[in-house]
Amino acid sequence: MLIVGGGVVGASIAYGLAEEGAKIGILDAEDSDFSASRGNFGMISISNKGFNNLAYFRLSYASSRLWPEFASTLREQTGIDPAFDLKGKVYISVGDREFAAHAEKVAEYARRVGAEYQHDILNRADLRQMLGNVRLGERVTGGSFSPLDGIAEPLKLYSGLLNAIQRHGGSILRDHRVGRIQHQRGIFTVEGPWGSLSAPRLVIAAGLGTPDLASQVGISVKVRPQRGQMMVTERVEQSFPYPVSGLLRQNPEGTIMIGVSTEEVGYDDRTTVSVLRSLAMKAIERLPDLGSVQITRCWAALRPRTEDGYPVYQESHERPGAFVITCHSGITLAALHKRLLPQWILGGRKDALLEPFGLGRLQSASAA
Amino acid sequence: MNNDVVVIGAGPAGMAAAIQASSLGLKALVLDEQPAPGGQRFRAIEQRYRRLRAAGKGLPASEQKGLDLIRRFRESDTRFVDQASVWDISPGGRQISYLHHGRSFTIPANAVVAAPGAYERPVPLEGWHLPGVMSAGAAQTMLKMSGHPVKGRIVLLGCGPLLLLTARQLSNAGANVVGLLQTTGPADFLRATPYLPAALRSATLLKQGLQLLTQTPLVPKVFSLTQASIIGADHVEGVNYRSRGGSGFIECDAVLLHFGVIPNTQLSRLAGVAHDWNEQQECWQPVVDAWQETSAENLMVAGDGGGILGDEAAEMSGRLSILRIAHRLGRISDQSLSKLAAPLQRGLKRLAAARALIDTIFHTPETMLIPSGDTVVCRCEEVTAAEIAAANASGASGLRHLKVQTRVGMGPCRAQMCSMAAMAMITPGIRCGQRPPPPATVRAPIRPLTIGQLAEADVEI
Amino acid sequence: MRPPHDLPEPPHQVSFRFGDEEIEAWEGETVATALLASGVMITGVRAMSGRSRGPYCLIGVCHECLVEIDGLANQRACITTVRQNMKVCRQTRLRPLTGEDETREQ
Ligand SMILES: Cc1cc2nc3c(=O)[nH]c(=O)nc-3n(C[C@H](O)[C@H](O)[C@H](O)COP(=O)(O)OP(=O)(O)OC[C@H]3O[C@@H](n4cnc5c(N)ncnc54)[C@H](O)[C@@H]3O)c2cc1C
Ligand SMILES: Cc1cc2nc3c(=O)[nH]c(=O)nc-3n(C[C@H](O)[C@H](O)[C@H](O)COP(=O)(O)OP(=O)(O)OC[C@H]3O[C@@H](n4cnc5c(N)ncnc54)[C@H](O)[C@@H]3O)c2cc1C
Ligand code: FES
Repeated sequence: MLIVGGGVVGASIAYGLAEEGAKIGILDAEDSDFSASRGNFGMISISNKGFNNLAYFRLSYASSRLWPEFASTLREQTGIDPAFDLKGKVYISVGDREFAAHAEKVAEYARRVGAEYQHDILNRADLRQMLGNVRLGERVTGGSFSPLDGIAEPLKLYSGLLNAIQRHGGSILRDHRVGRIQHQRGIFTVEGPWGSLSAPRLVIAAGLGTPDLASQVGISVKVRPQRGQMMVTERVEQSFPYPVSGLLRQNPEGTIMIGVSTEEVGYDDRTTVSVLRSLAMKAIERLPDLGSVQITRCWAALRPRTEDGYPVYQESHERPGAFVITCHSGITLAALHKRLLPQWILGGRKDALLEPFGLGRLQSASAA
Repeated sequence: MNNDVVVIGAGPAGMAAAIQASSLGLKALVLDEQPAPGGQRFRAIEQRYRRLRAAGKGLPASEQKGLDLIRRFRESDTRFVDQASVWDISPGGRQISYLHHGRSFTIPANAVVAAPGAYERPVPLEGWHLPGVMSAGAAQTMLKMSGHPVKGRIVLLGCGPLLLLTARQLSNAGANVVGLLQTTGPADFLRATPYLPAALRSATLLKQGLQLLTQTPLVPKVFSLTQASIIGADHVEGVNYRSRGGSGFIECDAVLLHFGVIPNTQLSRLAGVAHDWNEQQECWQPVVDAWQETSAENLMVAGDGGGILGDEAAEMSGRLSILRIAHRLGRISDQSLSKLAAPLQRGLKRLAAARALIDTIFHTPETMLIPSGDTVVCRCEEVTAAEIAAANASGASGLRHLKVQTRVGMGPCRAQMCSMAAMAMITPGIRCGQRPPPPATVRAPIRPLTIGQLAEADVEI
Repeated sequence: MRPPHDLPEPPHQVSFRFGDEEIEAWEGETVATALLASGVMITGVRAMSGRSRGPYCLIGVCHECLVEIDGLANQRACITTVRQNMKVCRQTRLRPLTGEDETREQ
């Protein structure tokens, strides 16, 4: 079994497949290639998923329920702890209008999703209590708490996955960019300047490289880059216990991550001072004490984003045995990918949770 | 405030550029993070001069030219901002951000001369992370600024003119130098003989070199050093070494390391200009033309930041870059451009030719360039050579994957201390002088900056 | 302004606090060179292992000289010019973001 693409998505699937006993090889491109898996925020985000697509909420939610076991297995097998914690997330609103709009949105979410959508609306005093000692910005009016969300340490997760794959006998082939895919008598052969490899089953999970490869097995899928910039600070004492609004989080060792922008700028993964500055302003507006904290590093990475923003799980009709898998929340979905994709890829049933995410939907559906 | 040119760095290159600019009627803004102009060679020279004068003494002749340069710089029509750390330069160089007394400023730049100088090649040795181990240049900087030599028993270790110079300066200042361990040996001199004729054309350089080699302090010396490890629990206690002539141990309180200097390419890499591997000096440097211009128009790199040639060449290259900018702005004619530039370009050629001799003699041995075992490669995140080797063995074939698996290069020094050694470890064949893969990406901020300083930056458009 | 080298008198001495110690320095000198000159080699501990660290390069590259200066953590001692009465501390633990130190907000 060959997997093209060694990011978090390819690695989560490979881990699951290897655990099922499949003999797997991952082919990954150059070290300098775009990689969302090396530059993300590491949130297991549920509460902001699928406002216009209940199936996507259910998928993400299901993954969050699988995460605890996923994380502990990974830790036990590799000794690398992805530092997963389903601790919930705090939203902070600035100004009355933003607060009102947020409360309205959360209420509407709950109406659409039902009882699973747990949340608390918080006033300023509640927020202060939840966040501990850290000062709130003057213009902070309130917010909410969602117990559905969690965090992980993205680089630990990624290196843990790679380690686990190797422990199960899988191999990771770096500098193996796939250029051409051939198909003959049920065998796929992938080729590149490095040579070629063959297997009866092929998974394409190559992030931004997916469309090009997918077209060679008869699947037409669009994936575009969406830039995200973020920064990480010096280590400081633990200061706020919950991640905030998808904007701030503190890691166990004390660094604070501030992110994440969403920009449509094509294949450009440079940082820009103007965007970083606006992230810094947002952070201080909410938690002014962050003003004195030093930045250690800033970076940008490109999210692979499908046309409508939802995952794609598609087997080729033309070339059965070839699977295309891509999504833009590969951390959130990692646990689910490991658990549910292998059985389908190995010839079993496609789980009902995955069913809505074939490519058929893209003929009619529109983005959320 | 509108400037014709922004100069980053007030060392010999930056100062010479500013003086040249002002003589042609260009407005230059000069930024340097140090409290005074001078750069590395002429660090704190005004203060030293005042201290010596108060004691009834004068500066050594070799330093007098630095004071003269600074005098001309201070008297030129230049705006100099000291304690200004440049933390960003935009792609191509049209915008610069710097921190000054806790406030950040972002300014436009029509033309830029980046003259950030060099830093000492980091060569991770076992125990080099212990307090009491410094670079030789650091010991020299301390002497220049405070007037005091490093305390206790000192061992100097490595190779290069600056190592020998520091040994002499420390001895002259009364320091207790107990060992001078050099990787240099007879074989290096032999290898360098083909470059001697070119070097002969640069008489002063050769004279200085000979002085350095012959006037080293009277201390125990070891040549052809091949391996060394620094011993100590919480600070330096001694050095174990091996050389072609045998092995030994020296008890000491301080170890000063030096393996030559390499260009500081943070700014030029951040600006996104083309770089190339300099095989002779084993380092990356920006690609520049005969006017010090990089692949981005009106972004010049002058001085040791563009390739190591020393302070004399730094001045020449600083002036050349201004001539080019002035010509573009129509401030000088074609004729005077070539007239003014010719001697500078000839001088640079001559110094570059002489440099081959120095680079060959003082060449870091391969046995030391590739760390192993418990040696801490990344000091910030405390990643050892063994950890890097293990990650490499499990498939991390590039620096970015190494980062994911080990955190190497992710600390506050922004990989300046470890990336070359880490790269050497994971690049097979690098021992044969092969060109390594491209260096790590540089992102702003390249200097410490707080969230508040970033958020409240003053932007001038 | 008069260029410093034309000033007739020698540079002034200034003093600053390093923990409980009083450190003498020349004006225009950096915190790191003044500390080294008075025998201080250790400026903090490493975040991971807790082992001691001290200045290495003195030109702003290595970040081994990071100290707390007037309440702000992780300042490069080798780039910071001494000021009379500045308060410098060895960094031995993570800095709290909140409360305690009044000087921080300046
Ligand atoms: C700034 C930022 C923040 C984010 N935050 C979060 C978050 O908080 N939570 C969350 O769930 N998600 C987050 N994401 C998204 C998440 O990072 C991605 O969904 C996930 O990493 C995608 O993984 P991937 O394997 O599909 O793609 P990638 O990580 O991009 O990996 C694709 C791999 O395929 C390789 N490849 C490409 N073409 C070829 C080829 N032809 N042959 C061989 N190999 C090839 C590439 O080299 C690469 O290694 C964030 C993303 C960004 C950019
Ligand atoms: C530690 C050290 C000691 C040396 N001592 C000697 C010596 O004694 N004799 C000798 O002949 N050669 C010495 N050299 C070699 C030295 O590189 C050259 O002699 C000469 O100083 C080079 O001149 P320059 O103008 O190119 O750079 P430099 O003199 O290095 O000047 C560069 C200036 O740029 C500033 N700078 C860099 N980056 C930034 C930024 N981002 N923001 C603001 N300012 C910045 C620095 O503070 C510095 O003042 C030394 C080199 C080093 C690294
Ligand atoms: S001693 Fe290296 S940055 Fe200060």
